[in-house]
Amino acid sequence: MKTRILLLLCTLACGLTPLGAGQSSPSPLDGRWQLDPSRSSALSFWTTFEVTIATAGDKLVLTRTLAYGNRSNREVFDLDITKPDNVVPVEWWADNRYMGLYMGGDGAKHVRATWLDDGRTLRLDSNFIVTTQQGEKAINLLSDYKVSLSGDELTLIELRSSRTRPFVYVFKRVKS
Amino acid sequence: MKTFRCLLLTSALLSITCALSAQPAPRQVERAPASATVIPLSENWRLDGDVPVHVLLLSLQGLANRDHPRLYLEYPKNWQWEIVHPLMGFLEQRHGMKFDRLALNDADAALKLFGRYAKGCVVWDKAVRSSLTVAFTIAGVEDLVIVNADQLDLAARHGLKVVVDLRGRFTGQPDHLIYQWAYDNYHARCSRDYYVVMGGHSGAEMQPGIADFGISRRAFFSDLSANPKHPEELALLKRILAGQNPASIVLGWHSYAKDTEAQHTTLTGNYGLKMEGLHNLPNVSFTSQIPLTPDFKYTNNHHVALDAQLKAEPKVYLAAVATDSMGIGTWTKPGRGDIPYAWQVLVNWSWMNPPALQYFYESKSPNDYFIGGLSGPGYMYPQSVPADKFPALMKDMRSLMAKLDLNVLEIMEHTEGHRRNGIANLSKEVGDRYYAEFPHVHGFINGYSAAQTFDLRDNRPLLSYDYYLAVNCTVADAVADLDELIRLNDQRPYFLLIHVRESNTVEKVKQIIDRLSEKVEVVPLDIFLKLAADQKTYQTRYQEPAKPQVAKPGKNPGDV
Repeated sequence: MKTRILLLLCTLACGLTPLGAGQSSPSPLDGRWQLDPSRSSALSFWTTFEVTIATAGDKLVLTRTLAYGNRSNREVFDLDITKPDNVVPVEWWADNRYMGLYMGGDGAKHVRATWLDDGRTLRLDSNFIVTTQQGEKAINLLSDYKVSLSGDELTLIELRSSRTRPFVYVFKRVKS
Repeated sequence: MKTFRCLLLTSALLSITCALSAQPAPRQVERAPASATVIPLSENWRLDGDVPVHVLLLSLQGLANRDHPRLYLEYPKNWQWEIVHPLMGFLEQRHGMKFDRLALNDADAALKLFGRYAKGCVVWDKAVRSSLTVAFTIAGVEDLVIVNADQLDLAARHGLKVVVDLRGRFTGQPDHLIYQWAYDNYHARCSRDYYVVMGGHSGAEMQPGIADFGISRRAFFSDLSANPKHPEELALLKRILAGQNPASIVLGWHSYAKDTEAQHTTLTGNYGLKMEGLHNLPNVSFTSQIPLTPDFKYTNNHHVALDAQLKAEPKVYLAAVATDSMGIGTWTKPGRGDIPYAWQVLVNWSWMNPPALQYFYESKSPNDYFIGGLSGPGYMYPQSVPADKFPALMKDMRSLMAKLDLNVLEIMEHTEGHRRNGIANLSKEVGDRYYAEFPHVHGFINGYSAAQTFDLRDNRPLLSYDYYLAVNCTVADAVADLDELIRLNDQRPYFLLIHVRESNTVEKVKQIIDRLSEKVEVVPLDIFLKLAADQKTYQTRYQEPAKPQVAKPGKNPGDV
């Protein structure tokens, strides 16, 4: 018993949410967020980027929408943070429009979601296969969605295992 | 018997009509004229601005240049076709031409010099934009200068009476009825070798640079839509295209307001026709008549023989290709010549604009290599071309490539409805067609953005672009992208083919290459293809038939 309490105190002190514990109250990340292009990495081809997040206990739904004119792509991450492997079907890898890299393998991202920093950071750890001209390659993508203390700004930092530079996207909350 | 005679007579009459209305290919003069008139045009291309005077001058140009290159229009410095200005200098230096310059937009002086080539004028309705497009048709068929109500006095001063008055004729009518009227009254006398889609800029703006040539050739003009959402326009457009001669030319560009490039080009391909843009391509009535100088022959920078076999080393080989097109792009901008670079040639300029092609071929650096495109003799999407029309088009293309000394063909497949998620892949059937039609090339390149089609047959690779360098992509971002591609394609050799969007300078491309994390060898495209024929590290792939998108969850790739 003492050990378990000590373990809980330690994980809380490290800012980690104990495994299996979801957000009991609405997450400060919940809501609709719109990209501020002037403070973000280039989108390459797309002109707008929107993220919506909705949490409910251990479950969360994160939707990413990229758009250009009347063309758009929506990617919906329906996640359970208790599961180490959430399978998210992906029709095509819309983030990349200009490189010869395409969704391969089983056509899905395998995603683990974790809350960090007292629930102010949502980390998605994704693994998927891309097809190159030479065949299939595995990629890992770490996506950290960090909300500001004021709750008005969301910063997404993405680190791809195949890339030497991260992507940084800054979003402003869309007030309804 | 009576019915049979009637049919015979009708058939004979139709044949005669067709023969009378069919236009021959542009005739070239024996040598460039010693002098020609040049009129500078203003930067205002609004219908409520200087379009009226511009179209008056364009129609006059088309008529005056019908049998001899007399009048050249000097487009503004910011015109999309940058070639306009260097070409004048080329004509002066290489052909010894002198240009007699009139004042900006000087219609009065122009009519004084060339009004005699017109039989009168056609008046378009300022309140109905499409009446101007109809006026282009009428100008060519009836030899009339195009004016509006504000220019009637000017026309009258030069003895040009109103022959056709379109004012009030089309008030409140939709375009499909307006063009139907034009079709009913003029189409029978229009060329079956040229049709002009007078699109591009819409609404308050118009840039009808191609109009002079269309008028000189007596082409039918319209901006009818290829969009299925406009069924009446589409039906009439199909009727027009079906009536054109096989493998003939569609000049101009789709309307930015009505349909998409893919929709329109797909439709022209369905009829086995050649698209040749853009709507604002200038002075073709002039340039098409200027011959090559007697001492010139089209000569490419070949680095390797067609039957050569090269040995690829374990490296990253990079080839850069600029398309879309030389006349618009960065030929005169910094960096050209610093690195091997391929340029897609507008093959129809061999008859539309020979002096421009001679200019490019003569000013090429040792590092410039020319290739043929796009997909055929003009701009077309192979998937859209019926199989029975493909051979005739490709026969034209082989002939043009031989004339222009080109040994690589670029393919672009944007057929409406064929691309999946924007990726321009070829079906195997189309790949088979190209391999059959072009036995004597180094190989083929494919795409506009990156694509996934690769093959190798009889030492002729078919390689898709692995990267598209967009205009607004920073050097740092491009370096990161290419580094990522090089990292993921870790087998050596790796063949990295880059499509450079036209307004990126060669200087910028060189900066990107110089900053890559891994050393690459930049090679000319013909050598690139020969090396790729030696070591096939790319996997054969064509567009597969569409299947339902159902994720079959497999093993997590992150699990080791």
